[in-house]
Amino acid sequence: MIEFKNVSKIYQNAKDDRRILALEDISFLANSGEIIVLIGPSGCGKTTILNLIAGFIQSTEGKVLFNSRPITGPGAERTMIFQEYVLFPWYSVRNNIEFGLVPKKIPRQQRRQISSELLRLVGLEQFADFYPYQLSGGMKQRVALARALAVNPEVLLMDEPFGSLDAQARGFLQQSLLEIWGVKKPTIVFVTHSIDEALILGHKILVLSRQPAKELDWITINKPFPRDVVRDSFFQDVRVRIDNVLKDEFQDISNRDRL
Amino acid sequence: MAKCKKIISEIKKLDVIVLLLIIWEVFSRWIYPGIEPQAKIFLPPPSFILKEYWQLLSSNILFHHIAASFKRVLFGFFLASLFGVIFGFIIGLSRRAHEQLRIICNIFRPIPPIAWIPISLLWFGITEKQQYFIIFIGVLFPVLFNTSEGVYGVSAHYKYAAQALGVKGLSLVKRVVLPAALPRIMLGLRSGFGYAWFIIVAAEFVSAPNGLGYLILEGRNALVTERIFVGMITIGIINLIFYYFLTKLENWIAPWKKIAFIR
Repeated sequence: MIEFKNVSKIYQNAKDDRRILALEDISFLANSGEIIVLIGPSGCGKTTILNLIAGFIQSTEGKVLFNSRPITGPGAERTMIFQEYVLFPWYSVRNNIEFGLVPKKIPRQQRRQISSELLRLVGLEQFADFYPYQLSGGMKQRVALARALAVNPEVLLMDEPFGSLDAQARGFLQQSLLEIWGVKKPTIVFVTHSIDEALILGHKILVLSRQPAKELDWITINKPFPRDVVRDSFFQDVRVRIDNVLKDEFQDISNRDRL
Repeated sequence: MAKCKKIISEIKKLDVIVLLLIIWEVFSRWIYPGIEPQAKIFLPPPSFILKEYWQLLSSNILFHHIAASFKRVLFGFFLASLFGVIFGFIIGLSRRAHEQLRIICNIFRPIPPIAWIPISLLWFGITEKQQYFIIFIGVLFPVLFNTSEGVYGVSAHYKYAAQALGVKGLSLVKRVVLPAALPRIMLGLRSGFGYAWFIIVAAEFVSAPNGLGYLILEGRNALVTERIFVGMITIGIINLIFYYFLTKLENWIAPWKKIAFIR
C-alpha cells in the first residue's frame, strides 16, 4: 500500500539558488495489487512521484508511506523500470536479470532457474548470452522487466517504460505486463502521457496538471483485462473526460503565455 | 607460386611507402652529397640505417638499451598506475574530494613532466630512482585524473537502477561503478603509457648510462647519425606493438565499451 499525504517537493538549484516547485499538495492512496496510472503533460513531475516512492529523493513537505511506514531510501521491494532501460552494458542478458538476486544470497543454481523462467516469460530464451547493445529497444525493455521481476518486488515503478517503442512493441509489452500482473499481482505505478495506455492498464488514473503537479482528476475503472478501449463506449467517455481536463490545462498555459 | 604472388600483392599495397624510401635513398646517396659535403652525417640513406640496425641487433647492443628503457618505463608506469588507480578511484567516490583533485590536476597536468627533471635531479641525483620518479610523475596525473573523473562521472541512473534492485554499498561499487568507470580508467592508463615513452627519452638524454634516449644521444655525440635513427624508429615500433596488445587487452576486459553509455 502506497500513501501520499499532502506531499510537496521543491528542488533547489545548487548554482543560482532558484527553487523549483515540482509537486504541490499531492495526496492519493494505492492499494496493494492495484495499477495506478499517472498521466499529465511532460515535465510535470510524474517522475518525481516515482522517485519519491523509490526512495531516491525525499519529500519537502507531507508524507510518503509504504505499508504505513515512511520511505527512507531505495530497496528491492520497490523497484523501478526506466524509459531508457538502464541495463548494465557490462553484463549479459542473463546476468542483468540475476543482478538483484546476488545480494539475496540465492545459490547460483537457483538463480539460473529463476532467470531461465523469466527469460521464458518475456520470450528471450535464445538471447540469454547476448549483451544489451545487441538487442532492440523492445527487447531491452523486456530484459529490464525481467530484471525487476526477479527480485519479486511488491511495487513496480514504471517511468514511461514503453514511451520510446514502436506501436507494435508497445502493444505487445502492455499485454505481457498485464499477464505478469495477473500472476504476481504487484502494485504498479505507471507513468505515461498516452491516454490509451492509461485506459488499457489502469485501475485508477491520476490526471496531473502542468508543473507544479497538482491533482486534476482521479478516475477509477472497474473493468477486467484485456480491455477493448477502442470500441467500448465507456472508455470513449473516459478518454473524452481526460482529454478535456488536459486540454483545459494547455488552454491555461496558452492564456498565460499571451499575458 | 601462389605464395609468391601474395607477397607481391602485399608489397604493392605499400607502394607509396616503398616509393618514398627509394626517393630518400636516391636523394641522400647521389643528389644531396653534390650540394653538401657532409651529407651522409646529416641524412644517411635508409640502407645505411638498416645496416646499423642489423649491427646493433646482432651484437645485442640494441637489446641492452631497449631492456634498460623498458625497465624504467614499466616500473615507473606500474607504480604510478597502482597509485593513480587506487587513489583516483577512492577520490572519485566523493564529490568534494573529486572537485579538489580537479583543481590540483588542472595546475599540475599542464606542466610537462620534463620540467620535473631539474628538481628530481636535486632530490635523487643521477640514479635509477630519479628516472623512475620522472616516469611516475608523468604517468600519475593522467591516470589519477581519468580514474577519478570516470568514477565520479558514473551515471546516477545506473546507481538508481542498482539500488532499486537492492544492490548497495561495496557491492554497488564493485558491480556497477567499477565496470562503468573502466573505459575511462583504461583511457588514463593508455595515455599514461604514451607519456611514459615521451618522457623516458628526455630523461635518458639528461642522466642515464644506457637506454634508447642514451643511444640517440650517443649517436649524435659520435656523429653516427644512423644510430640516432635506429633509436627513434625503435621507440616508434615498440609503441606500436604495445598499443596493439593494449587494444586487444581492452577489448577482452571490456567488450561492451564500444557501446554508448548513458550520461
